[in-house]
Amino acid sequence: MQELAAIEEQLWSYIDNSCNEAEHERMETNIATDAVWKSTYQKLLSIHHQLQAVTLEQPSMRFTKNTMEQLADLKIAPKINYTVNSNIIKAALAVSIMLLVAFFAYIIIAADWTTPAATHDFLDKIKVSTVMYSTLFTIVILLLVLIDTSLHRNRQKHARL
Amino acid sequence: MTLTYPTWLQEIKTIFPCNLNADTGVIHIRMQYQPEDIDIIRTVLSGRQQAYTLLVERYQKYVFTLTLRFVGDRELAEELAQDVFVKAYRSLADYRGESKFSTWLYTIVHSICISALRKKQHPVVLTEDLTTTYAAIDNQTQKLLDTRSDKAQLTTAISLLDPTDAEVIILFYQAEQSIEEIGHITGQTPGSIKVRLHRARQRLRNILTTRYPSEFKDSFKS
Repeated sequence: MQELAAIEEQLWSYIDNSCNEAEHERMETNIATDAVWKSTYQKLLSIHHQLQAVTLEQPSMRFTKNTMEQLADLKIAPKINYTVNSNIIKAALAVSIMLLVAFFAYIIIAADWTTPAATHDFLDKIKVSTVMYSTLFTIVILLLVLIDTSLHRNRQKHARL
Repeated sequence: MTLTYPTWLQEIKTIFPCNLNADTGVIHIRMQYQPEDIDIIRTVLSGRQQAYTLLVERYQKYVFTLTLRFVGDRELAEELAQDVFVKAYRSLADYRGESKFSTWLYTIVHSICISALRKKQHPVVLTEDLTTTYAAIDNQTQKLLDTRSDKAQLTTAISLLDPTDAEVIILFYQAEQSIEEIGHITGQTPGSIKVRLHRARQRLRNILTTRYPSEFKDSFKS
């Protein structure tokens, strides 16, 4: 039973024309020489033809008219241009990452490493003003927005084909 | 007899050469040549909206069959199919011609149907448990199940599949989309589409051999 299922799976790839050339040739040989392969192939081919012959559903007679009536007042949306935006997004991403790296470099350099050893809290050693925290927060938000925009654009590109 | 054609028909006739005949009062249109999708799209983009009728006529059955398999209700399916053509029209300028127009159109069908299912929380019937599936069959479907035609039985069996499985079957067999194209439409890899197609055929076979053991014993039964 397990073996038959494996044969069927391979034969479907053959019928669907989704296997490579070597597999295709191997299955042609199997069909020509093996009775089980041959009978299974004929059975699956019959299913394939039956599925191809299934008729499509017909919408109502007024379908085209109704659709065109809906379009009457509509205009085609202008084409969206991706080229410029893509470069801007890449540049903004690069700047944000550089700012983030610079920020961390600054807080490490500006940290007061002379504080007594008893103080273990790293936050006590660094001297970062509220303004700097706000800057960090803004950079992180900007990065997240840019990443989201970039991913969204990729999805849209894929959808538009 | 002098025939008066509707305005939209006259306009199409000026865009693409057609052979118009009248037979028993019904107007038959016999196209002398079938314009390519891309030619129709260029015409629509140049401002001749009525040319879009040809695309609607060409793909309405495919789009409607897909939406019907998703929502199961003819009225709602027709509404969704119209939404598909409206959205496609609005976005026509974004069609880059890198894929077939049909593939691009079915991508819109897929996204609209998935959104509709989420929005209306339409029940998605999974066929893992066939007992549950058959319990969900309403009277209308039951009548269809009793029909003697193999084709009708197969159509009914497809309608009993999980909508996403039915979608793959329709796209592959009726809409003639390749495994790679179905991958683009559904946002999945060709590998997973192959698996889904195989699984959908297995489930279809289960439904048919359970419902019609004698009719499908030669082909669908293992």
